[in-house]
Amino acid sequence: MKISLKHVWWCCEAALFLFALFFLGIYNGDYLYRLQAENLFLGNSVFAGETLPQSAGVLVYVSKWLLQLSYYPLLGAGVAAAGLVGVERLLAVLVGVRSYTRLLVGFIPPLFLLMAQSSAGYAVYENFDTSFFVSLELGLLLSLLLALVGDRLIRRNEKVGFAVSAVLAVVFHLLIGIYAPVSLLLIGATRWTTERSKAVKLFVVGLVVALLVPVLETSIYQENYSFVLLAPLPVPYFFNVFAYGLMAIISAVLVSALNADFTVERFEKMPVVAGSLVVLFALSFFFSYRDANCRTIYKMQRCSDFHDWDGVLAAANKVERPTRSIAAYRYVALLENDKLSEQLFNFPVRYDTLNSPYSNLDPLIFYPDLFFYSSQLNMATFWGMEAWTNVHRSVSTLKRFATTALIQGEKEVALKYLGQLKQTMCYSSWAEEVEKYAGNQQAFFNAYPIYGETYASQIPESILSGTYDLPSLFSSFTNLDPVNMERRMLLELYTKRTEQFMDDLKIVQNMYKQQMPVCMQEVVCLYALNTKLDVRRLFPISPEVNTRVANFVYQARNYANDPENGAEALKDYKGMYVYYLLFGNPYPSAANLKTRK
Amino acid sequence: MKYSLNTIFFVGASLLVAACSTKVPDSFAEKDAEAVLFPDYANCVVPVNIAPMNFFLRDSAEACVLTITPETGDVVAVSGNSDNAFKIPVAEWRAMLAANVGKNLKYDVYARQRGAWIHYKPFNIQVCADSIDRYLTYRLIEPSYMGTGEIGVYQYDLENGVQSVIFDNHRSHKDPNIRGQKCVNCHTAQRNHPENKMFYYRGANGGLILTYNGQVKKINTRTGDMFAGTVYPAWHPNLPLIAFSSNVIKQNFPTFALNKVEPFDLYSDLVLYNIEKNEVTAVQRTRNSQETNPNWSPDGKYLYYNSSDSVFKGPHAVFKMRYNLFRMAFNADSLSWGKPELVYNAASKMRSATYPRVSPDGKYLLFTEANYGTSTQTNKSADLYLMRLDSMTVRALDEINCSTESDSYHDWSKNSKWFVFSSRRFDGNYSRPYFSHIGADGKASKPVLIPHDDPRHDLNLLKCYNVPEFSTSPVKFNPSDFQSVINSEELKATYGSPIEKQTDAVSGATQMK
Repeated sequence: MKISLKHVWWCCEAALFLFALFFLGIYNGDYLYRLQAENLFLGNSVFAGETLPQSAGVLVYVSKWLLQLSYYPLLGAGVAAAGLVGVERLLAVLVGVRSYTRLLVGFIPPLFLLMAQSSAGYAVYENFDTSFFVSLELGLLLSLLLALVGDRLIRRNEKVGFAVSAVLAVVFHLLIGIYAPVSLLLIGATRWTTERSKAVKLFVVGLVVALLVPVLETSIYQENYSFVLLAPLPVPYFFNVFAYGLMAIISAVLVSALNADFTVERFEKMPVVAGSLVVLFALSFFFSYRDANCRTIYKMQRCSDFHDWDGVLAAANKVERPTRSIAAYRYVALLENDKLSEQLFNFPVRYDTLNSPYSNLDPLIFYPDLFFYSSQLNMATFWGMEAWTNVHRSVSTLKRFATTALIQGEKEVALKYLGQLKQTMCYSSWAEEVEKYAGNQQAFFNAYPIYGETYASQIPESILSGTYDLPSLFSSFTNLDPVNMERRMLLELYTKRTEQFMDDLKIVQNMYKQQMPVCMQEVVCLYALNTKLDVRRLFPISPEVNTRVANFVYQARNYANDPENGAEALKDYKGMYVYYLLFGNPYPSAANLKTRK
Repeated sequence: MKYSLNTIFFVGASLLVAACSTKVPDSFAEKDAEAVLFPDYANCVVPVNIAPMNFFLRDSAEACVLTITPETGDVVAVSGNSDNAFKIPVAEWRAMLAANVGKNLKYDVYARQRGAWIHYKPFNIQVCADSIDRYLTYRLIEPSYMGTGEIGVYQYDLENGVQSVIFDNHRSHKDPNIRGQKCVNCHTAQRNHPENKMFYYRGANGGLILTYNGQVKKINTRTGDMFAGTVYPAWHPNLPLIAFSSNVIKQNFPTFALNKVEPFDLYSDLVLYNIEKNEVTAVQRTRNSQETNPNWSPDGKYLYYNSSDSVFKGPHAVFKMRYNLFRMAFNADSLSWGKPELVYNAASKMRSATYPRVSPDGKYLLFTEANYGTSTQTNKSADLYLMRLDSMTVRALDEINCSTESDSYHDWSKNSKWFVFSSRRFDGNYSRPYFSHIGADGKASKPVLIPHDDPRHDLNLLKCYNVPEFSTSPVKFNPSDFQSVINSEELKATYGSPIEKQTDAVSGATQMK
């Protein structure tokens, strides 16, 4: 059988679909899950009234609805992959494809889209609308459809077609933003080689619509011109998504300018086409955002949402230089697995900062979960609300609000939040399931014991907190039960406040008459060595621990001024608290990391 | 052609009419209970000029029908939509209210449950001849702690049920720097010249945004040695004067309490801003007491406010800060002040009285009383109290305070027949505006949630209504006008009080020339 261009075309599209499905649905599955978790779509008139009156509001509204599918990452990825193939196919239909070279270049715009879709990174925790994942692709699809309509009309009746295309561009600008005038650029580009003057006219009209309609929209939508101009593209602050999204548009226009017979001789062989496509896939993979720590956080948060604490720990254990966010989720998992005192310091001690251009993200990434699972429910709500108001509203935060209200027995407000969640696509079944527990805490705890434990571990003392982090908050309480006292002391060790730890230990020494966590034994030994006050006799100190601490201290003296080499030389002591105490940097900053280098 | 186009059109139109017309069930069982509605409008009093009071049936039902039987006029029948919501046609509603002033409308609700129709116990709505001010101005804000998020001041047309934006920070919401404070707040209008309005846009480029005599200006009123900018406003009913409190406001966040946020004033004093002279002068400059929430008497001869002689001494002191109501005489000719007069002593009862609002007819003083503090919008103990100014007798508005949640931020309509207040009674977290009618006997009618076209609006809105205030005229400028003023240079007010001159520490009053 002779392999025709059509067969190759289908194969290439199938390859694109499969690559995108794998890349988005499997490799970036946790990321897709996070995108939908940071998204919010509600099926009510208030939400529509708030979402639609913004630049590209209709496109954003539909995109927010579609993004809900990514709760099941393979489903979301499947729809996105189909959309990418759709972009490629419509682009081909607009101009026609009669050569391998022309076929191949048609894959560049969807691959730029794919890179934009997969490159948000830490922006998902910022003032960023995650529905871009759909809107960039859907916008280009609609733009191509408008271009097809305009192109066919112009072929039948030039003046009418021209006028209709311009009117459509203006009207659709109100609905889909920049993608409406792009349709004129696409039509113009298809005429660039054959009807240059018409192409120029279309470009001019397209640019006029793109630049002037936003002036009108600033009054309609009450937004600054710079936001309206390129909506729904995010602002350049979110550079990866902005740049790749813009490149997808530009490349689509450029590809449209190539006629159907466009040929570069060396690409006109089927194996070269196949190889080139693979190279394009590889390049899009290579240039996409793949920060390991960021991906780990996505993974940990997804596992945490399903209370898969082993999954959280497994993700943490693959990390070489964790961030505070990773350490925080690991802390939560250890807390829930009741292994906190045993394993807290059995972890890499040299922390890294977030590899992110966005500052002060920690409170947005992990504070709500950290405070929630530490039974500080008011503070979990506080930090959840900070994320809700300061960056964006999200379905995950809404679920957190509902859960907290259920635990705290706040029936009416729980019902309010559950009523909202019932309007979502993928959280409605959970909301319907737990709605019956509103106002009946005990029944809720029976059905979800984890929340019963969270409730039971609350500290019945109200600190009038400012914006304390968890260790500072625990230090502020004056009367703690044994469970929370141990948490406080472990947090003191985490923040290297060993003197405070020893003060607390003296108060609660009866708690550790029989058994004592190894990390605490180490501190007691260290204290004895440093102060000559032999408090070891007061606690059940293992001789092995005592010896190892003594050995560590003896060897560490050689590296008092050389922590970098010391950490490497004493790596046999990894997992011990004293090793963490000497070499750990729990609050890394760009400045102190630079100093260390 | 077998059927003409006319035939098809006629049949189609008939089907459409049949589908849209409401069929009241012929047979039904009587249910010995009232229907559970949202909003609960049963047995309330409504002004003659209010928008349709749409509601939905909370009981589950396969279908539902409402009939409204006026004392004068035809019965109006409305079918519930797929969500069991009743949307009353506007024209019929208006005609019905106009024809039934002072009379009752009888409401009958029918529901089909498991295939059989039931009829709930009917209820009445009374149409009151007293009209309500057409516009309600409020701020919409998340029940947030520190961050403001999307926030704005809006006006709601109570006759047509339409909300429009006065100004919001939506314009800059996509700005990554939104995490900086860009609060829009502290709105008010001049009672007898309601076209004069003001609000605050805080943060960079912010200031007092003042609409006065048909012009918009941006003014920086923090001047001299004021420890803070101006905050809570009270526009003199007739003169170009705005009394402000100047507050340093802080918040505590209790880790284990139902009240999740405790706002309080670290410092507060009163100042007067003279619009035409663009000058700020001190009203009260005190070191050992707090003064805030000013409000003018309708004749402009007194300034009411609440004051506490407790000052902040550590986080838990907030629970001991209790305010009393005071007033000071004001001489408009000499712009001078009398001595503070105690109007209501709440602290002696271990209570705190705040937010005094005098009715425009001068009969009543409505205020909030709580266990402590002055920022009572989040304080679950906050209730409304009414003082008769002729006898100075005070009573709790028990007919209003029927919840354990905060009731605060009240305002009077121009005819003094209605008041609006903000209540968290529905869920404890999201405040909603309710209005109520004050009868000749001083009794308030059942509080009524403001109506919306979509009766689920307030269930779905994830924001609080903050400081609802009546107005008889709309804002004449659009957000773009305000934005261009915000982008322009501010006008800096001058300071008319000598900086070095301290106050009378006993009375707190600054005697002005």
